[in-house]
Amino acid sequence: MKISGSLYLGWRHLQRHKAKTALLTGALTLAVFLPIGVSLFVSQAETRLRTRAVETPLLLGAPGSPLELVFNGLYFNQPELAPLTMRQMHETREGDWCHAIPLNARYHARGHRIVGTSLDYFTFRHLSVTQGSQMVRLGDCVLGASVARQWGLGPGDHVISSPEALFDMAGVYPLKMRVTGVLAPTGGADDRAIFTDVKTTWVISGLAHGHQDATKVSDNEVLGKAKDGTLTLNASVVEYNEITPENVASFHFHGDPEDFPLTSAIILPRDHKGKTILLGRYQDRKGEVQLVEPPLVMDNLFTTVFQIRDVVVAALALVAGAALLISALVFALSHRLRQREFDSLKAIGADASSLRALILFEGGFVIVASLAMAGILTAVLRALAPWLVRLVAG
Amino acid sequence: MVHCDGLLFQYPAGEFSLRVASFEVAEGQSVAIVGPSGCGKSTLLKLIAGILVPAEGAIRVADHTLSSLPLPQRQRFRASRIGMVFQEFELVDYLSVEDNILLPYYLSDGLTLDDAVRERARTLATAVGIGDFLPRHPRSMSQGERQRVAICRALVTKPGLVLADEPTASLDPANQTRSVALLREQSAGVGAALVMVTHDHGTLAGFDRVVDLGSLVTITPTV
Repeated sequence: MKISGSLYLGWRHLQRHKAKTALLTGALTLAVFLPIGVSLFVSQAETRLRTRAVETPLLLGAPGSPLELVFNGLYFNQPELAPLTMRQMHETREGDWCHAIPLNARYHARGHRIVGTSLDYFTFRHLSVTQGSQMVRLGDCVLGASVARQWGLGPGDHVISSPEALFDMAGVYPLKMRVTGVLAPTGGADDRAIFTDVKTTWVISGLAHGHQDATKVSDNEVLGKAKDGTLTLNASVVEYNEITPENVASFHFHGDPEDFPLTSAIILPRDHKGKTILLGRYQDRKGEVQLVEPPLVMDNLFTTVFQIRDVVVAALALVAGAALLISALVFALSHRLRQREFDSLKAIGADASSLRALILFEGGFVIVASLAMAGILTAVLRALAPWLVRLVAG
Repeated sequence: MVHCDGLLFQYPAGEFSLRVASFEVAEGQSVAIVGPSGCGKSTLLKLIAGILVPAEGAIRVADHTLSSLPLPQRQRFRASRIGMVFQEFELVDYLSVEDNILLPYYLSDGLTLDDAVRERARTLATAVGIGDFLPRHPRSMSQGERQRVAICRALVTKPGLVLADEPTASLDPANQTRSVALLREQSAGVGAALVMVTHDHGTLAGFDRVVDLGSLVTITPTV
């Protein structure tokens, strides 16, 4: 047997039939990679989503889908959630069984979510400011690491909130916010958010605003003056879209802030007993608010996801089996078509083991190349998985 | 070069048997075997090549009793000492002309491929007029050109014996005589004996002997 000669002939055959070789290699690569890839992706998504869920004991939100609530509270998705009021959040404190952190993740700036919250959120999520300082007044914000890197912004720069309804004259106006700091990267959803005080998000929503001192406007801007001193002003009165040290005092709320909206609130029970009491208390209030345990919601989600994954992987395994059988058939047919070639090689002087080596090399090359390609694809998927999971799951 | 004594060969199904009492080819001699279809011309060639083994009798090629050698040794012997030219040439279409000529060296561990062998392949190719075709693939060549590649492949190992099984059957009449002459010349050039099976009497001129296997009568060529 002349192994080197058999390998050379096998290589030449594969080279001469590039399309067939590429097709077989591609089919086997996909057959191997797809079941592994789906399992890997689901596993990565599960790890990523479950970790953040486990760190968040309870979430309070308006009635609706628990999953949407969890995705809003943890990943700042689903901004269309029905509002939860500040009052409803404060009611959880009754009995002093817990601490509550407000979240208002309804607005965005050029695709990045603006999250209105309190300073407690940063402590809870172990977020630290690496550049600049924490927000100190209304209109300040700190940027997640990815946002700062993507936009090239840092302390002293400004971020303008995106209009929610461009053609709605009575809608939300953009607010220019001052960047006071940039957060250290965490590899999670916080990197892609812009954090501000929850009151600043109410300014964005129009529930709070600042404008020219009404007592100092010209007569042209006054539409009417009532006997009790109330002034009715026309639209030419300047309404501020940036909060500065000079105008911050003019910002005020219209209405009771206790009625102002949040999207959700993170509830941190003092202890296990507090958690149990809270869950019991909100068991019967599902019509008003819902209190959910994010880990359980994620468990439910992944129970379904795993069922789907198992079906998909089983289907892919069947497809892979079919691809393997078809590849084997192609090899067998190819072998049959080449019988005359093999007979000629034997007549010239090739022994049976040389021919076996030739055939094994061709088949082996396709299998090894497919496994290598599948390995490379798996490695690429593993490297890109965090980004893909973010893309898909937010 | 070739000595066959008391040969009996029978295919397993028993539909055909061949008896040859005696058949000899001297070194460097060119012998044409003719005869009606089915008389066993190709079978005799395969017996001499060691592809088939006789049930009785002995075949000696270059002082090796080929019929008693085990298969691997017969294959090694054939690759290094016998050149084969087939009816359909049997070139490997995924190899270049150069690799087709060098094919015995890729198949047999009894042969070593080196620069001298490559040079010999090029010289042979040039001698038969396909020196410029070495990088090409056989499919892009005419039948006559393909046959020259097959002749080069048969001679590249400098064999003592060349066996050709109806090598002109795929050629047009104009090319047949020229091709057989080329095969004879090149075989003589490397000092190889030539045994050619044919049913085309127009190509027999120039052979040292013509054997009618059908009647087991040796006839003299009519030049």
